[in-house]
Amino acid sequence: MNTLPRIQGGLALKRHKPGLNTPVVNLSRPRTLVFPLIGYGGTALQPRVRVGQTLNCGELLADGIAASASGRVSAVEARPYAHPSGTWMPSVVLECQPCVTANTCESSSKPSALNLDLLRDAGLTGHGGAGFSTAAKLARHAAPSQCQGLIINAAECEPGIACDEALLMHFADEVIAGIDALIDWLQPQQTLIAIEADKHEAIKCLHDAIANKQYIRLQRLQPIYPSGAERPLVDLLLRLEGQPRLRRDETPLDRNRICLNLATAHAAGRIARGHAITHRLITIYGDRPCHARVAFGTAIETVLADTGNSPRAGDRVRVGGALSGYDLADISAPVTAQTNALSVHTAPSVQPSRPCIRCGDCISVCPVGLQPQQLYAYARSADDKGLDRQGLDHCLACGCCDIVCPSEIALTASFRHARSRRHADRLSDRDAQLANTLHDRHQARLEREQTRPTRQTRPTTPSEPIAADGIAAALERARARRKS
Amino acid sequence: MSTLFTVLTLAAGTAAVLYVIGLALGRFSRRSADSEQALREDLLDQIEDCLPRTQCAQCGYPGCRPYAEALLENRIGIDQCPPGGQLTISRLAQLLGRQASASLATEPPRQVAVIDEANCIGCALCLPACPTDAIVGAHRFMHTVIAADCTGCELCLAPCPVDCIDLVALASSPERIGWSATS
Repeated sequence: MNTLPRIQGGLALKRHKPGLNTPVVNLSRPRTLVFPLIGYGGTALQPRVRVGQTLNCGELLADGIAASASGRVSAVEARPYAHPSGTWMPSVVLECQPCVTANTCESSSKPSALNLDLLRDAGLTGHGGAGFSTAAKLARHAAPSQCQGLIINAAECEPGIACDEALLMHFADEVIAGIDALIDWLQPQQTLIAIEADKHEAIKCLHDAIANKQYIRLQRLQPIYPSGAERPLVDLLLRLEGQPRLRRDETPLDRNRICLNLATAHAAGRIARGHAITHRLITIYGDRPCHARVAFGTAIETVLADTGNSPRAGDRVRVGGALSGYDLADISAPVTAQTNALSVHTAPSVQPSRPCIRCGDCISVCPVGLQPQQLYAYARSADDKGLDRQGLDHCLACGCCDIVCPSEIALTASFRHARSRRHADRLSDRDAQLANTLHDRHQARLEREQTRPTRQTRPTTPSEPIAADGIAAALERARARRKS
Repeated sequence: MSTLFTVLTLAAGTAAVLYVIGLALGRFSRRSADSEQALREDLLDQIEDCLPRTQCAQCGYPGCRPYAEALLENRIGIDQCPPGGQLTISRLAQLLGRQASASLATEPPRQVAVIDEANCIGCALCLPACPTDAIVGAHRFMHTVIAADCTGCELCLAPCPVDCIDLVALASSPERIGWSATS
């Protein structure tokens, strides 16, 4: 296995893929589904529906969010949201008929070839965890037959997340059908599925499914975390082809490569067959590890209860993998298309960190080639120029540097904090620029009015004469208000 | 005689060369007076970029540009701007190489002015007070504040004879939460 290609940097972590030995659990759909109005990167979305509106399954509630059942919008209000801050977010609340066998959506349209409008209307977003709009990603793609390579990302490198592996083990044919639909549309010069070599069962299922398809190639990789991150993966594949590496200012699309998550490709196939995207597989790790097929909008505590994984007092529930995930403040938060794993664990003890000894281990494991040692120093002193020079914006927040640091410094947390701070500062700058422009216009207006007297306005004729006691009454009200 | 002649020629030559150099330097210094003014404007722009531009006069100066001038001439500390918060203090510290003498106890929340229309008498006294022209209205017409243009500077509160303007803290919007969990 050590002769297989591997990404630069990263760490070989112990394989931890729970819930693969049990059949997939199809969870029943609850009566209430909640859809947070948050898009990629935390942007606020405008709802396209009103309270009281009835909807069919698959109709868009907002850009990139489709109703996962037919029902009635009972509210658009702040609700718990799965986020480290524990803040509530504006969400659409849908009341629908609870359904025990919620495997397929009630309404479906006839199959058709994939196109951008179809993906937009279905609200398809990436299922890998970040949730970028798939239609927006593919809209930048030049034209059919300009695509050098379609890369299906089945690497799934993080400990604790195994939903793509489960998808391959149980639904390999559907996955390949989705890839075929994408190939028919994008007409890439080559298609490959990148997968870590230790997913033996899944690779066997894949081999069987693509047995007669010479145009889909399987690329096995050394199981290194984070091979599943888009940039290190595409950089590796370019290197394997003998191409120049992916520069920091380039995206895969700049090199005519389209990289999609395996589950996103599977969902695209379902859209081509006329189905709405309403469910996804989620890895559940608790008392009863399993994979569950969950309708978007189901509360996380319902998912845990229905699979026999309810947390006990003192337990924490984590969303996402062991490294890039976070613990939830409120487990009534709903599942979204980006929820890939849930795990129940006891609260970890936090080790105090010690000073940096400049060993450089963090530099050798960074998959993006950054210098966490330097980034940490600049983050602590809030030196924005230094952070830019060191490439803070390219940090994947994978957490490899945290693992190797002998002083147990919370490096990734400090980078995340620096990015949040800079984001807030940019918003403050934007406000200041606006205020500056308005003030300049205000000053210009005053200068204009000095040179040119303001026109006399016609005296207004009120509908009824203003009595003196009307003014007195207003002043009385004001005095009463001032006293209170 | 010839020695004297040589010395006098050398002296005259040196004087001529020095005169020409002096002329050239004089040209240069006349241009630098203008460029000094331009340099000052540029520095004031850089200082103003660190300020939030609310024009609220809480620093004691009638606007952000006068405060910037005072900072340039080192007449005032870098910690006098409450709306700027810690961001303004750290930026000014880096730009001017000065330390803050006091740190802000709490960052003020973002707020906007809201006119209570039930109590507004349409006197139009608040309109000229607003440095960003965010209040819409006219004499005997209802006044209202354009929230998107309001910087929360509080300058409209004092002129209102019926105290009908309140400052309301803005709810945090999703874009200000920070830590996109997948970043």
